[in-house]
Amino acid sequence: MKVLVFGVLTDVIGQSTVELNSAHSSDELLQYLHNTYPFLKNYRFEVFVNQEKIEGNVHLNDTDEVALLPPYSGG
Amino acid sequence: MLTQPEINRYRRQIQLNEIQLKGQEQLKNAKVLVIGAGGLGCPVLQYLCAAGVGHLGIVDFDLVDETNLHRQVIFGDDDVGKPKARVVYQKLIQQNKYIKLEHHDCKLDVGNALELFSAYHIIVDCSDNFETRYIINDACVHLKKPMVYGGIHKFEGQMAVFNLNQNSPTYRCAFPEKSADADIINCSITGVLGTLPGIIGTMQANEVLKIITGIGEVVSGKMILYNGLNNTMNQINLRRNKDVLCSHFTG
Repeated sequence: MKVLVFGVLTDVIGQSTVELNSAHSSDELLQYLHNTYPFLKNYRFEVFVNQEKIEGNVHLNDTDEVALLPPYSGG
Repeated sequence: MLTQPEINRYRRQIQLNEIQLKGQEQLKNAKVLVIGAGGLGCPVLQYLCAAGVGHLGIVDFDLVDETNLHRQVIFGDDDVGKPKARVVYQKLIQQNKYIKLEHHDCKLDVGNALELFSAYHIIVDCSDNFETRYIINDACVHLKKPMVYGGIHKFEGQMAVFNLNQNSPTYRCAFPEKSADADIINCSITGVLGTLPGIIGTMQANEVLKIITGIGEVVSGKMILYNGLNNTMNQINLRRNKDVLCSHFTG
């Protein structure tokens, strides 16, 4: 599955797109990302699956597109 | 009513079938308040002024800094150290003599937001910190006014119209909690490419013109995510969350 990364999270993860095929749920995906990129815990962001915002844990398919979106303060 | 000189001035816009004289008159009768006269606020103000939005308000407490000049292109070397709102006001007066302008040289806070906003139809969020963005959102929800949001980070921008009507999502529906950690992330810390606020600010101005004239499809219920480095434009969908309160102004 494709994980799109935005804003300051791009600096934390080092790229704007991550390809992953091991996670079956959003919790599993976030756990993997937090383990791989520990600095992620310093940032608040919202999770979108196929452009829709999720609340809580949801099932993920390999074809899903996940977006990690922090707010941007700059103006 | 538009005068003949005004009709001549806006002719290329009036020519558009979607605008016509009626749309130009709607623009003349509109009152728009822009919070922040920086990277986003300056292009918003310049384009709305040129397009003939009849009444524009400018809110900014800050002074022009030398490090603003690469992206806040309305300002020149001689403006460094001067109050932003007043400098922009003076430049816009030169730009279009047919519109009314007001500058508010103050910091937006919970004490003055409702009074400031009440005189305007549309509020444009061109601020540079989360505290102000939540105040703008909450005041817009409380007063039932659209909030045209823009936010930038390095090479990326977010743009959306919140609170267009009572069913449309608000800023808190997208980002419900304030982030104290993230508050320190702004252009002065991270840097920003000079053209980015011009692109996002112009998109915000475009939404304002559409809201006023009722044309096209307003970016409501979604958010545009622009990346100037990769030239990508993504979009996410948003829904009104009735459980989200406008905590600064209850009731």
